[in-house]
Amino acid sequence: MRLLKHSTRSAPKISLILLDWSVRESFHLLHYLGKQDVDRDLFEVIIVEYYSRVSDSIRPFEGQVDTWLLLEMPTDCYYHKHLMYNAGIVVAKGDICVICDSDAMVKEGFIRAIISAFENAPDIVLHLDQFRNIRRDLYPFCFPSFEDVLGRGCINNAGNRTRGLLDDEDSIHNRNYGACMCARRSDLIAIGGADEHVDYLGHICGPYEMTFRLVNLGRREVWSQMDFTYHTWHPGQAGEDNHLGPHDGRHVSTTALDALSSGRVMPLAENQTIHHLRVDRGHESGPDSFQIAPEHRVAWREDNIRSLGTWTSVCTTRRVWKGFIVERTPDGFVAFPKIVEQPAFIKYRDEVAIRAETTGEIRRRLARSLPLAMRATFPLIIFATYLSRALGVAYFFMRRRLARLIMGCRA
Amino acid sequence: MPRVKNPWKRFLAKWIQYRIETQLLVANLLGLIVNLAFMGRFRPRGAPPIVVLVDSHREALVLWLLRLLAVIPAQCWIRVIRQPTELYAIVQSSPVGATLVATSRLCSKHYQAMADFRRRQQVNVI
Repeated sequence: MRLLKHSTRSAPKISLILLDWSVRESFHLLHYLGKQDVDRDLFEVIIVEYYSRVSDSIRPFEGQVDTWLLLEMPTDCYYHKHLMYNAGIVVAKGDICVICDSDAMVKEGFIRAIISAFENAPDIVLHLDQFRNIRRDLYPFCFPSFEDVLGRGCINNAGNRTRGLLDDEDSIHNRNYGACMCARRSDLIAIGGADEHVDYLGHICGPYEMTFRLVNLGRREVWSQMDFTYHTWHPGQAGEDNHLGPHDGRHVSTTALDALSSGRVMPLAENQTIHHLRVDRGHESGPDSFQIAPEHRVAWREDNIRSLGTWTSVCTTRRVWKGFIVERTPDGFVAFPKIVEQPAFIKYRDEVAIRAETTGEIRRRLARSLPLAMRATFPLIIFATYLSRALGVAYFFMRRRLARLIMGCRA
Repeated sequence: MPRVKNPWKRFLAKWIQYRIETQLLVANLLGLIVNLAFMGRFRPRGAPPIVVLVDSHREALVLWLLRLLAVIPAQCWIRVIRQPTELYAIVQSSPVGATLVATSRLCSKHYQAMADFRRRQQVNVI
């Protein structure tokens, strides 16, 4: 790990954590941060590079960078953004940590808006949504005006607010949780920082998993209605050809969604430095104290990820199969219905637990433990679900196609 | 989700999305049915009912049919929550002592309201 620059700002209120894994072509956010309408000492900028690249894209804006940290992970290791988040949280001096895209545009009131939001409501986790423009002529980034970005090519402008903000039904999929997330550093440490579990390796990751655990802790999630970030198109922006961890079909991590169901606050894999900060409150070591678990350098190697099968992940000791939790034990496997994990039913665990030596055997025994009437209905339920969803999706697409046709005729 | 220009690639991306989403839906629904059946086994006679909170009428219909067929206990009351504001109203209209069961999908969809709710009331999430 190497520290190219270390912040000399004594008491910033905000620490902006910007990431790179040797891919970023432009750090133009730094240009806009130089135009903020607040005292520059109120915020610091932390750049965390996953590998060892000293990016030339930062050089034009180097004056805006306060801390520049290279994690020097091996080049054959896949990138893990949550490790970078944790590094940023450890070296941050500000009360509020802001994680946002380094290739976004922000207006001059951006920092002021964040400070005001936390002054008005200290117990929040704040998100800013993002306007996205898909015009190819804005690439390479050419410092367009905000009106240009909101105009032709903007895919989610709904009357100067993002379409996702107007959607209450499915905010997880329609809002950009990774655009800009702001939380108190003390809260982030209290929840154990970002989860370094292998499920978050690659593209399926984001600060939303910390948001979910902060909500479980009791913080209120707030979306700014007036302030946004702005993003223009560039190739590879949507993570094509990246490694994808377990997700729900729409690139939201199912591991993060499970935290919502279970009410979990702590991460599955906590960073050691964050753990020490959490346990030894008030004991802050310098930025050199950030530790990267040695097993990550092995487990996150691209060769190992390609061979990831059912039980090869080092952190996976349990799976869910048809409502049963299947846990690996030294002797084989044990399975029990998910309901016996709840406090009211925990006393029945030994009565219903089923043991076996192999996964095939445990599944056979689990299937036999279900009543015949139930097993007989399963194929019908599966077929009916697939069919009804297919009809629903077809109806949705036809309705959208019809609406476009009507709009086209009217034009 | 990535916007893909090639129509074949776009169809493939949508097909993969549809498959993953439906697989998850099916897995969650089957898991709910299995666990409701086990809850029926553990519950003593005359105990207050189990109130099952789901987020879609499709799931509610499947559970209602299974209740008719006695695959899940007859003491299961199925309620559909479409808006977080309905949560408290439905729970207040339930019998005292009823066991609340919510699906993980419902918890994800209305997670802020559910997080608040779970701090005040015991909810079993499957």
